Amino acid sequence: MTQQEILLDVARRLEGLNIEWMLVGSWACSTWGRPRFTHDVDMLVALRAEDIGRLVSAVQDDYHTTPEMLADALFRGTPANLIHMQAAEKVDVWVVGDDEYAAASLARRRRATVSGACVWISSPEDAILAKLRWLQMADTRQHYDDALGVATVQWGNLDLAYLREWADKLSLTENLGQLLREAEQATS
Amino acid sequence: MKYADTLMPPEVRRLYYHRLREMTVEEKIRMVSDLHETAKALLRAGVKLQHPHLSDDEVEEEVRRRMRR
Repeated sequence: MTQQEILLDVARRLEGLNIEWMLVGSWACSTWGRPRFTHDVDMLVALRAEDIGRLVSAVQDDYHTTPEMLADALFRGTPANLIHMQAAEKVDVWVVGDDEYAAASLARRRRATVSGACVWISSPEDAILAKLRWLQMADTRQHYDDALGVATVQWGNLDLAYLREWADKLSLTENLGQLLREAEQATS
Repeated sequence: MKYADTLMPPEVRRLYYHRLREMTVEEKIRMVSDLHETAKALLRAGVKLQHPHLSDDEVEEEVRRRMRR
C-alpha cells in the first residue's frame, strides 16, 4: 500500500468512529505549500479516553498500535504510532488533549475529498503555527522551510490577524514576524 | 541563509507559486505519496547495487531499515 492509500484507509476508519481528526505536519504543509518527501503521515486526533478501545479494535486487523501508546498520546502528549503491518508505513497520531491551541486549530480544519474519501487538513495558518511551534522545540531548518513554503504559496490568502493572535499566545511573535517578512520578499 | 526562491527570476517565481496554488488537495496528496514511493524505489535500487547477493525479502528489509533512520 502507498502512503496515500494508508492515509485514506486510516481516514475512513476514524470517520467511521466519528472521531475528529486532521492532517498536520509536513502533509499539511505540502498541501498548502510545496509538496515534499516525508517518512510518515501525521494526524491530530480528538481522541478521548473512552475512544481508545474503539480505535484499537477498528485498526488492529491491519495496524499495530497499543492502548498504552494511545493513552500516553492522550495524557502525555507523545505521538502514538499506527504501523501498517504489511506495508511497514507509519501514521503518527497526536492527540488534542488539553492543548488549547490544538483544539482551536482542529476547529478550523478544512475538508477535502480525495479518491472519494473525506480528508480533513489543518488550515494554512495552523500549518504555519504548528511548524513554528516545532521550530521552538527543535531548531531545524526543515520546520522553518515548511512554514515558509506555506506562507509564500498562500501569500495574500492568509488570515494574518489569526496568525498574529496565536503567535502572541504561543510566544512565536518574533519567528512569525521574520517568516512573514521573508514570505513577502519572496512573493514581491 | 538566503531563501532559495528569491534566486528565481520574479516571473518564474510568480508562475511557480501560481501553479502550486492551482493544484488540488488530491493532486498534492498524490504527489507527496509518489515522492515517498520514488524515494523507496531509488533506495531499493541502491541496496541491490550495493548488495547484489541479497534476496528480494532481504532488500525490502534493508529498505525499511534505512527509511526508518
